[in-house]
Amino acid sequence: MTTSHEHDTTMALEAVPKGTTVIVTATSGGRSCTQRLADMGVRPGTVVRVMKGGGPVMIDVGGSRLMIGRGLSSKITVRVDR
Amino acid sequence: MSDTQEQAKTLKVALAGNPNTGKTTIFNALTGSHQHIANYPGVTVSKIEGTLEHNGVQIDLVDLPGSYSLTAYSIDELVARNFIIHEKPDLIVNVVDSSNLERNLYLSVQFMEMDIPLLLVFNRSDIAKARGYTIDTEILASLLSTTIVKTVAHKGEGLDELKDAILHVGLATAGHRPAKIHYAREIEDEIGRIVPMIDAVPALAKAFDPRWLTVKLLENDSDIKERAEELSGNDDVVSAALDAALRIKQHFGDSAEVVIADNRYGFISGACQEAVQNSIEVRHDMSDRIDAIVTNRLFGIPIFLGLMYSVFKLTFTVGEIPMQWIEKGVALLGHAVTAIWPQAWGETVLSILVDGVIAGVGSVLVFLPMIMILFLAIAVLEDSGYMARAAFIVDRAMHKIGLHGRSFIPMLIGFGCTVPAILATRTLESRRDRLTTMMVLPLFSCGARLPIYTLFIPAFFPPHLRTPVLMSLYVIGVIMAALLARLLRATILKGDTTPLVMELPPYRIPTVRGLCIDTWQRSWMFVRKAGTIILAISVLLWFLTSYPKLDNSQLENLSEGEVAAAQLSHSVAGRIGHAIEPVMRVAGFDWKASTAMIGAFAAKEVFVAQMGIVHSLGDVSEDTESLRSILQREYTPLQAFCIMLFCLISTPCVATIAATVKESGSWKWGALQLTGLTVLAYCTSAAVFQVGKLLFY
Repeated sequence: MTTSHEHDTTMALEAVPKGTTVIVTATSGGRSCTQRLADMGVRPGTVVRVMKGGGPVMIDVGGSRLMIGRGLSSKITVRVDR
Repeated sequence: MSDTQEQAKTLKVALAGNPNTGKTTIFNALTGSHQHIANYPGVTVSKIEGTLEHNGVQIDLVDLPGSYSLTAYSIDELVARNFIIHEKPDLIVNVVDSSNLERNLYLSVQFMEMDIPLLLVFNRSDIAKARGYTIDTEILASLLSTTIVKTVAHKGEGLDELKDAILHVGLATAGHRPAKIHYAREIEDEIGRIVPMIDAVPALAKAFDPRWLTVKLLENDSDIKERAEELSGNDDVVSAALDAALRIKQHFGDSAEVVIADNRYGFISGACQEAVQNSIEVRHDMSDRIDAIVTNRLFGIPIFLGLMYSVFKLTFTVGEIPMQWIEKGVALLGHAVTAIWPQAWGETVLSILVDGVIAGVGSVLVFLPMIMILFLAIAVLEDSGYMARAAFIVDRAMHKIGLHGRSFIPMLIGFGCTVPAILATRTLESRRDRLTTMMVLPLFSCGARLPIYTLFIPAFFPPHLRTPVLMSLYVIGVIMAALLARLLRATILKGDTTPLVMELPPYRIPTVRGLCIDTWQRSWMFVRKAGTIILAISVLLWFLTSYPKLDNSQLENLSEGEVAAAQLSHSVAGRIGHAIEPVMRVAGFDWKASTAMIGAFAAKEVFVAQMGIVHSLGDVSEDTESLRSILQREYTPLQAFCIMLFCLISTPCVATIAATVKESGSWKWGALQLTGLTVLAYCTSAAVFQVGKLLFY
C-alpha cells in the first residue's frame, strides 16, 4: 500500500498479540483463500483488531467478529497500526 | 417484465443476505405462519417459502440460504445463486446488517450485477446507531440506484414500509434497475470484447445476463465455466475469457478475481464515504465479555465439555420417557391390527404389515423424541451464537486430524443420528472436508446403537465396570474417526487443509419460533429420509428373515420360540449367517450374532430384536432379562465386547449409506463407506478377539 513506510514491520496475523489493531497488507494461500477472505471483508487495507491470538485467531472487522482458523492465520500478513 | 402489471397480482420475491443479518426474523415477520418447507432440486438444502398478501397483491417469498458472496464457495451460496439464475424472481430483497455495512454491501453489489430489481433492507439500524453510524440512506440509494428501507426487525419497525416498497419496486415496469459497477478500464475493455461473443451464442445469452456471465468467467468460476461450455457446445467463450483473465493478471500483478473484488469494494467504500459517518471507534459489549470467559484458554475447554455433557444427559434422560410411550404404542398398534385382522385376508399380508411395516416404521419413530431433543439443544447452541465459539475452541484439535472446527458440528449431531449429521456437512465449504467428515461420521456412536450396548453390558460386566465399558465404546469410536480422517486426508482425500473463516455472531437469546423451525426441519428430514428407506428395507428384511418357510412337519413338538428360531435359521438371513460364520468366528461371532447383524443393516437397534428371535425368545422387548441370561451362557465377556465393537464400527445403516450417496452425489462414496467400515470393523474386532483370547484364556 502506498501509505506504508519503510520502518513498518509486517508479520503473520497468527503472531499478533491480543488487543492489537493491525492493517492487512496481503493475503496468500491461493485463490480460494483470498477470495473467501475478501467475501468476508478481509483484504489488503482492512483494519483488523485481534481479540484473541494464537493458532485460530478471533478478530474484529468492521464490528463483526470473525474466526480465522489455524493455518489460514499464518497466511495473512499484517502491519501494526501506528 | 412488461406484462407483470396486467396479469398481475403475484410477485415472486427472493429474500437474500449474509448470515446473521436478521433475514429469517424478517421472513417470519412477513409471512407469519404461511410457510412451507421443501428442498432445492438435487441438494438437501431446505427451501423455505412463504406467502403474504399486501394491498391485494400476493407476494411469494423464498428465504434463500444466508451467504456472503455469490462465488459459489459453499452449497448454500450455489443454491442462492442458482435460484436467481433459473427462477428469475421479480425482485430480490437483500437484507443488510447496517452495523457492518461495507461487508454486507459486497453481496448486494453482486446482486446488482445480476440485473434483477433489487430492494435493500437496512436491518439492525438501531445497532448501527448505537455504534455511532449515521447512514444517509437517500444519498446511498441514489448512488446505488436502488430503494432502501430501514428496519429493526425484531421490534417490528419498518415492516409496513418494507411491504409497500416490495410492491413499489416489484411492480414497477422499468427504471428500477440498480446501478452498474464500473471496473477498471482494462477490465471493461476485456468485458467489451467478450460480451459480443456471448451475444452471438443464443443459448448462452438466453441463460445468463452477458455482462454478468463475462465477469463470472473472468473470476474463473468453475461452476459457471462448466455450464457455459455445456450450453455453447465448445469452449470458445470460456477460453477467450481465460486469456482475458491472464492479461488482466499481467497488467495488475494480481489475479482477475482479486482485482474484480477490489473494484467492488472500491465502489462500496466510495459510496459509503459519501453516505455514512462514524463517530465512535471501538466498542466493548456484552458479547465480548461473554467471549472473554467462554473462549478463555483455561475455562474454554471445561465449559465446552460441560455443555456437551449436559446436552447428552438431557437427550438421553428426557428422551427416554416419550421413547417408552412410542414403543408401547407401536406394540399396541401391532396387537390391535392382528386382533381385528380378517382371517380371509391371509397370514402373509398380516405378517408383512405387522412385522415389516409397523415394526419398521416403529423402529424409526422410537428415536424421534431423543433426536428432537438433541436437535433442539443444538439449535439453542447455534442460535445463541455458542456453536461458532465451540468450533473456534476445537479448531486446534481438529487440525490435528486434518479437518477444522466446523466439522465438529456434524459430529456432534452424529451422536444422535448419522443421517441428519451427514446433511449437516453441507456447511463445510470444501468438498474434501465434506467427504472426509461424511466418511467418518458413522463412527460417532449414534442413538440407535445404544440399545445394543445396554443389552450386552449389564449381562457381562459387573456394575462398577459398566459405565467405563460404555464410555470406552464411545471413545474408541471417536479415536477411530480421528485416525480414519487422518488416513483419508493423507491418501484419497489428500490436499491442503482448507482455510476456515467463520463469523462469530453476537450472542443473543434464541427465539422460540426459530428453535421450533430448526428442530422441526431437521427432525422432519430424519423422519422422511430414514422413514422411507427403513420402511422399504424393513419389508425386504422381513422377506429375508421369513423365507423360505419351513414345512409344518419340521415344526412338530417345538415351542413357539423354538419355531421362530428354527424358521430364522432356515431363512435366507439365517443361511447367510451360517455361511459367514467361519469368517465371523475369528472376530468372536457365532452364526446367531452374524444373522442378527444382517438385520442391523436396516437399523442398528434391529440387532437386539433379531438376537431375541435367534435365541428362541420371540419378541424380546418385554423381557430382556431372559435374553441376557441366555447371552451369558453362550458368549464370553470378550466376545460380547467384540460384538459391540463390531456394531459400533461396521456397516453404517441403510439410511446412512443412502444419505452419503445422495449428499456426495455418487455411489462410489456410499460403497466405500459401507465396505471400508465393515472391513475396519472386522479387522478391529478380530484383532481384539484374538489378542484378548491369548491374554485372558
